[in-house]
Amino acid sequence: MSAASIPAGGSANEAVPRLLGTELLEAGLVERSELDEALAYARRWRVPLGRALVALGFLRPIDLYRILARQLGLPFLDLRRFPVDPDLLDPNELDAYVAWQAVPWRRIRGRTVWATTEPQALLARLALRHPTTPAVVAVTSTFDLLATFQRCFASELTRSAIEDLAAHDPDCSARTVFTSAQLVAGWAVVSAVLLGLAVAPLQTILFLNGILLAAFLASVAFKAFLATAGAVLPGVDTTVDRGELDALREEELPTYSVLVPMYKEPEVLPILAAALRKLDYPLAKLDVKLVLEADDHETIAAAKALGLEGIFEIVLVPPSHPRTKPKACNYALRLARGEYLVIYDAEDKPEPDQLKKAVVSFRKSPSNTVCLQARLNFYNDKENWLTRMFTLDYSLWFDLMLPSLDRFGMPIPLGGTSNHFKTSVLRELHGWDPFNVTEDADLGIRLAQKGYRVGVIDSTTFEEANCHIGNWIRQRSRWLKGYMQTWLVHMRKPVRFAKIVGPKGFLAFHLFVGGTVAAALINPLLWVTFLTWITTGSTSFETIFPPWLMYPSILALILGNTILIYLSAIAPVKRERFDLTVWALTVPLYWILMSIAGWKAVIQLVRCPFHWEKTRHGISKTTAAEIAAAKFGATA
Amino acid sequence: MIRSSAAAALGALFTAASGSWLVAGGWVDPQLVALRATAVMARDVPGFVQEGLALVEPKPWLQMGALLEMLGGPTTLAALPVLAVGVGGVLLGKGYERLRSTGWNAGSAIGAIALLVVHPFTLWALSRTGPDILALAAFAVVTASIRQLAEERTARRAISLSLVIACWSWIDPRFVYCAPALLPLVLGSVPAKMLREAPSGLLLVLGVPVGGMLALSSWLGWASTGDWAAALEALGSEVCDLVPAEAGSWLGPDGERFLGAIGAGSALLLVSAPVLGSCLFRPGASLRLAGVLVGSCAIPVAGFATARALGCSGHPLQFLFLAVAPVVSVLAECRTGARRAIALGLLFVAVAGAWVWVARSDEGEIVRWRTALLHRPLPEPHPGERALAAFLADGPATLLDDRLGMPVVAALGRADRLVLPPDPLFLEQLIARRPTVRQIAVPDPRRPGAERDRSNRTFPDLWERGRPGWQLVYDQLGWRVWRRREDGPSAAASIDPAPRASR
Repeated sequence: MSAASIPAGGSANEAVPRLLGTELLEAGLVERSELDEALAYARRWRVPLGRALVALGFLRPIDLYRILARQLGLPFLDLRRFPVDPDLLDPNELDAYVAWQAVPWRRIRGRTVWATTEPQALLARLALRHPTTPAVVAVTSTFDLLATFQRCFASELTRSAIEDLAAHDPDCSARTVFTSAQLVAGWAVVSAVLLGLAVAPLQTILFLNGILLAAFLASVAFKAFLATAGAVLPGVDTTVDRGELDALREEELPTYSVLVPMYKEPEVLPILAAALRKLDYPLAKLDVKLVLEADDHETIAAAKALGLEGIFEIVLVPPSHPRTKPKACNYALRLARGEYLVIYDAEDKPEPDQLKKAVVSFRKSPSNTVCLQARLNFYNDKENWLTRMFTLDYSLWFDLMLPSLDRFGMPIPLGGTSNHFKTSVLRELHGWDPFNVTEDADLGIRLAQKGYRVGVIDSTTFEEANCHIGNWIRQRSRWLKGYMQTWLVHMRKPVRFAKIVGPKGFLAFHLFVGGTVAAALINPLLWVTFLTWITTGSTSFETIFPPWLMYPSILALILGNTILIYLSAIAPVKRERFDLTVWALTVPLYWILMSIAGWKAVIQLVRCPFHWEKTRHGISKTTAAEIAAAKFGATA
Repeated sequence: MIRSSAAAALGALFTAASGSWLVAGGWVDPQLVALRATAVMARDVPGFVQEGLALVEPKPWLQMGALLEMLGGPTTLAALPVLAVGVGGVLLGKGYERLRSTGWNAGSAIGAIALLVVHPFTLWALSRTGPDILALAAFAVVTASIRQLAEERTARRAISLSLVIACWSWIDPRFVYCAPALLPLVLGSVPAKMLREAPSGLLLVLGVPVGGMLALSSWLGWASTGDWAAALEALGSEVCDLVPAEAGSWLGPDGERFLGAIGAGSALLLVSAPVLGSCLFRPGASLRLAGVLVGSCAIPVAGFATARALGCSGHPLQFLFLAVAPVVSVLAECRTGARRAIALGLLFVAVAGAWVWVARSDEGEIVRWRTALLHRPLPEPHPGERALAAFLADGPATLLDDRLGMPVVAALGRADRLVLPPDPLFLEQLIARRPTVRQIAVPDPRRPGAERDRSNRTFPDLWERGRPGWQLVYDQLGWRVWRRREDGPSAAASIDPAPRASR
């Protein structure tokens, strides 16, 4: 293709075009049966035939667009061989280019030639924009277009992925770990404690003990309230029933973007591909983006080798700092085409009807509901003690506590995956915070702070539970560090935050986000004190634990821990995983791991706040079986 | 058409009226006396921290009483009846609502509730306007939860029931005796999968809340007395402590009386006959549900039998009034006119039979209650305790165990010159076995319940012979007071604290 071959002043062929199906059959690109099936789906989904053919895997995208170009009498542009003129590109128009699925290619005879995958729609748009200048368009393929966006706008996409939130909403960015005011406040508190210890040591210690006790009891009481409400209250779960799903008309379903950020985990790709293929959603309306790091050659090669269908696209994120998942997600967010968007991890297996449930839930929720969290659970829960504990942990969190937070209108810190968004609002809020290592939890709180609602849907995504203690501690330390970042970010302007989320939400934020971290940090201190007292029978504790403090402290220790064990025991019952309940008795050992992770997180918050502790996936024996099954399913 | 709220208002009115009628008849409720005494002790006894914590023991109304005592004495005695009237109203209103929701017409539902209200068991709880009515409300929630679990058999209901039972164990000491009868009902109602796949997990889910409550009670015992087992023992003997009744035995001379009580209690079970019959003879009916309903009615009877077999000397009405709660659930399951008519007829028989039994009963407290209801002359309650209180009012510090001394404390209205169990000094005196207080008040060990008086247990001869160097200064109506002579041993170490200012 040369520039000279572009028809000057041309637009779509005005002659009655031949049918695309006929063209494809004549070219031998599809079988009759495939065409019939695709036609049926195209009608059912109300999408162009070509898109249905690609989505069903009957046709390569490049072949589709070549034939489409021929059908419309337009030239086809191979943008890899004939790249766009970078001088024509306006970084400020990137969002429009993505929305239009078009890019200005070159100027020929004083007129701009556009390359697009949707020529008719583009012609209409350009005619509106420049009514006096007839547009010149050529057809290109979706992959070429995506590659062009990434190649030409890499620096802009990277800059916006890293900078946008910090530039437009600095109060919500964790780029600054401690603000000046927070440092001053922290210094003041530490000074006051030190001064107190110097002047009135006993009273100061008693005061601190009292504060710790009150915080612990409040945190336990709050968790007990949330978990028991989640377990026994009728109607605490927002449910979507079969009838509502059946009532959905597939032709009315919007395009859904699925972002799957991955880094050095090529082994789990087959699971993901199999799980996404099973989604009960019109394939042609899925915009699946595997978001890979550009220097992660292994995963890139594995993704290409899988021979994924046309609904899968690969977004390569150029190396830059911070190397975090939220930055990668922000990068891909600019390229997403869906009205809704969901994040999955590489090893995730969402329940097939999850996207439809999300659509129904969005439609029946208040208009300010912009995010829905699906529940998370594990498929390898029986592998070892750690996976069982992790399952109890997740069951308590996602099955009992999050639905309660939703029910009582409190801010919900999102879990790391299966968050469904209204894409436009996510963009409006500048996506995730690339400097926060639990960007999901932070985003949940930020949404609440901006007056939006986060809901919970009754659909589960099954993941691989961490089965190695070292790997688990790395992951948990990152989460706890992120929780600390989140707490610090939203406590920059506490009064404003409290006004927006209300006293209930404010309290919930402290007890749920702050309390989780505090419990991990403080628990070992309390246990060591108690065990020392019990084993040594020392009377030296009587000074710092006078009766009025000692009795409630022991009460807190006994009753608080009994309650927490009980909550872990009832957590899996909702899923009828009765076999797991008895394992709750060992949950204190899990808390030891939690405390180790918590203290590691504190050290990291000071030394390397943005360091992303990578969690290795694909190490479970069950995952190996899942991979084998997925590969078999793909070949069968 | 009568709305539930109107029925509740009527219920509250009836509760208030029956309570007022009883008080006008000269009734003084021992539970209210105990409440008042505990509240006074909480205010006046040193070691208030421990006592304040011990107030968390399984009597939530105690905390309320202690709080009100801080505000002013008389409110303590008024507050619980007010609460009881409210609860009575809600209870009757809910019963009416339940019947109406299952198809009973307003007239029949009112008739059934009226029959239940005039049943002596119900009237016992309502008219005394004390903790019993709260216990009845708690048991109503328990039986409703069991019924819901039997109907749904879901894990959610099982968890819910475990929490409800835990609350019940917290607020009603009868739980200890009723629990064995409750267990088969719970096990028969939980999801079969749960029972089959994870019996240990099931035990954990159902048992931890109750176990936690018992652990809490144990901790409270340790916090207030230094003895981990003390509170558990207290929990077990709570019923006996509340109303020390005449001793009875399983098949001894009182066997007939005991069996009569069981019979009167079981008469209420007759009401469930139509439900049970319909389940037995109608294909597809839930036998499990019927079994659970009948079993729920039997729990109080079984609880009473257990308590009696274990040597608790409480009287039958202390338990049997609980049976009224599940009877409402049973009535609600009578879904046809014929069955309702039979059930109402049987209920009428049960009412009549129970009144016959009450009329013939010679249990002390039942006799007093019956006498007060009829407004016949009633002997002054606790004359010995009132006299002792008058004697102690201006005397020196006196060691007194509150097991039988509650009415003394209540009559005195203050405890600043008493050395009572919450006071660390009390334990010191008993542990050292060398009392240094000026006086010890001791009940006649032959009186019911006096054998558990800690002074009597520590010094078995105290009643008869006192202590070397001590002299008898008071001996009236079942109480003696021994005072240490000024020239007696350990006089130098004597303790006679100055009166402590009341808060």
